[in-house]
Amino acid sequence: MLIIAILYLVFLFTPIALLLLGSFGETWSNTILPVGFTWQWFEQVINDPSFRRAFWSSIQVVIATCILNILIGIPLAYAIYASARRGVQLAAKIMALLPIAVPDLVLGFGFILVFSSDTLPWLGSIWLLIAAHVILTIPYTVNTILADMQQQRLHQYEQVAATLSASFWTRMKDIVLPLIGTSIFSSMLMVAALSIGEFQISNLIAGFLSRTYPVVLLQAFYGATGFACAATVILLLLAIVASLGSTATSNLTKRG
Amino acid sequence: MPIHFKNVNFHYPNSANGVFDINLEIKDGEFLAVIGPSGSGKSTLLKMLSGFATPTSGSVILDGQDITRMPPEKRQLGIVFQSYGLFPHMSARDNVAYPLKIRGINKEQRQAMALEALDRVSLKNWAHNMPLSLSGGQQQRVALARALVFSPKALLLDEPLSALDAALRVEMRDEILRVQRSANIATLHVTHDQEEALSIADRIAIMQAGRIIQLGSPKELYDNPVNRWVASFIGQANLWDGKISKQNNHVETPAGILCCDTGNYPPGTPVTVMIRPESIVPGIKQEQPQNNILQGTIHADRFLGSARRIDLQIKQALLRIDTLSREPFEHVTIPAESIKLLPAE
Repeated sequence: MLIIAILYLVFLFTPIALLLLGSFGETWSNTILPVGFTWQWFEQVINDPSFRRAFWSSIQVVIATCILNILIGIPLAYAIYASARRGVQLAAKIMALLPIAVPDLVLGFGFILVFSSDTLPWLGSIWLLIAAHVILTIPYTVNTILADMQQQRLHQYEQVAATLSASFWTRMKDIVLPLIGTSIFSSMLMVAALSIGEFQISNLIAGFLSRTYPVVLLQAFYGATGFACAATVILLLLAIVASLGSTATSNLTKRG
Repeated sequence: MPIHFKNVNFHYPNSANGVFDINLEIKDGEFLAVIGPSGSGKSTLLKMLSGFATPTSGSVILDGQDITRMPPEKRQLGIVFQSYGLFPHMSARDNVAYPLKIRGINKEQRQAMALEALDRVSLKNWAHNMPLSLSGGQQQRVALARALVFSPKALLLDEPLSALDAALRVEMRDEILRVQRSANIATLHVTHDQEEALSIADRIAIMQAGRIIQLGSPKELYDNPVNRWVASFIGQANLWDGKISKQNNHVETPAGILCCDTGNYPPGTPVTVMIRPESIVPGIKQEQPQNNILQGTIHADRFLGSARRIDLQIKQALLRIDTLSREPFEHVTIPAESIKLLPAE
């Protein structure tokens, strides 16, 4: 067990460590490790207009995806939980799981077919990109929250609150949201991580001006190694920032 | 405030189950227990009163007002659930204060009221504990305090003691009764534990297959059950098939002919003979009239501490006897007045 764990960690952290080294290395050719120290790769990435634009696009997409996940995912999970009929529950679960089961490529081509038509000419807009991210991530939100509701037997607490004269919205505010707060929080972390790293669909449907960071990152690998490493390190940082941001969002929603 | 079930029927969809012809009145301050085996409809009765089920026909009246179709949140009933339902993210005090918060009472006042309510169930020192750090009995008390803090119109108890161990259950019975008496509130208590119902209730309704088959005080139910099923459900009983003898005021039983009050049963009528085990006197008492003395052999002898439970084989019949006596015996006297005749089945 210990050996497997060590191997796992080695495979997980070696690339990250090498990326960090590479991003600060002045030259890295024909040596095992890079030589010299420099900030120039980071400066180049930061001063590159397409990388800057992609950075902000990604942040926007992640924040919007998280907010929409909360606005859609919580009511959806609650509706599935509260529907008394087992058939409805099953159908809703399958619907929510489909985006995970269907390959991203299929979904992406579908988007291209539908939204490049004359009636729906929205391919390339940032909103379509956000919609695609929401569709990809919503199953995680719904499943996490739904499992938590079922495990906590939420309906029992709701019944109790009803007998104490709490109206539907009061029950939501005082009982339901606080009880599922932890799972909202953890699903937002998951959604942010998925959205920030999403490449396949974004690469297919993003417009030139709304490309997300991973899409632009691909270009970096055609250039200098140090530049590519620095750009990737920034993606890692972005993922951490997005996670923190989504945490803040879910906390605000809980209080509101 | 009084509760009244009027000709209430409830049919479960696609099934013959439900509750039928329920007419039941619970007076202000009265403690009424509903008992019955699982599936007898007692929980359905509670759901219709609390508002989580709507009767197919008939009406539920609370304090003179028809509440048959009123949603649960408008009924103003204090309910203690089987699982207590304490909100895990609120302290004991906040749990008790929650119904007051909904009623718009300001924070200072509701916290003071909650503390007072917790004090009444001897939990003042536990006010800041979270529910999960309280024992089962303590959670029970918090639930009781929460159900009563807003002066509800009636109190509903849904198997509140079933999750507690035996010793604590007995203690909590007294506690519930004490709190109910001081609140002087109409109370419906649903339980499957007949001993609990006997010890706590003013009146008991026994349900079987969706119907109330007997309603009366604990003593009435115990001493004069309407049929064999009630007799066996409430307490222990020797139940024999018998026949009214031609001899006046005598009944033929598998253990022999016994003298008792045969009431209006004509000779030859088949009956069920009921004798409670504790009413049987071991040995022969000199001062008693010399009838209803039976002789047998001891088939089983169990020492239960406070009593000794003996099965005596008399002819083909087995007679169960509960006695304090530790002496050996082979004769028993059955007082004529302790023999009850029920309809044959």
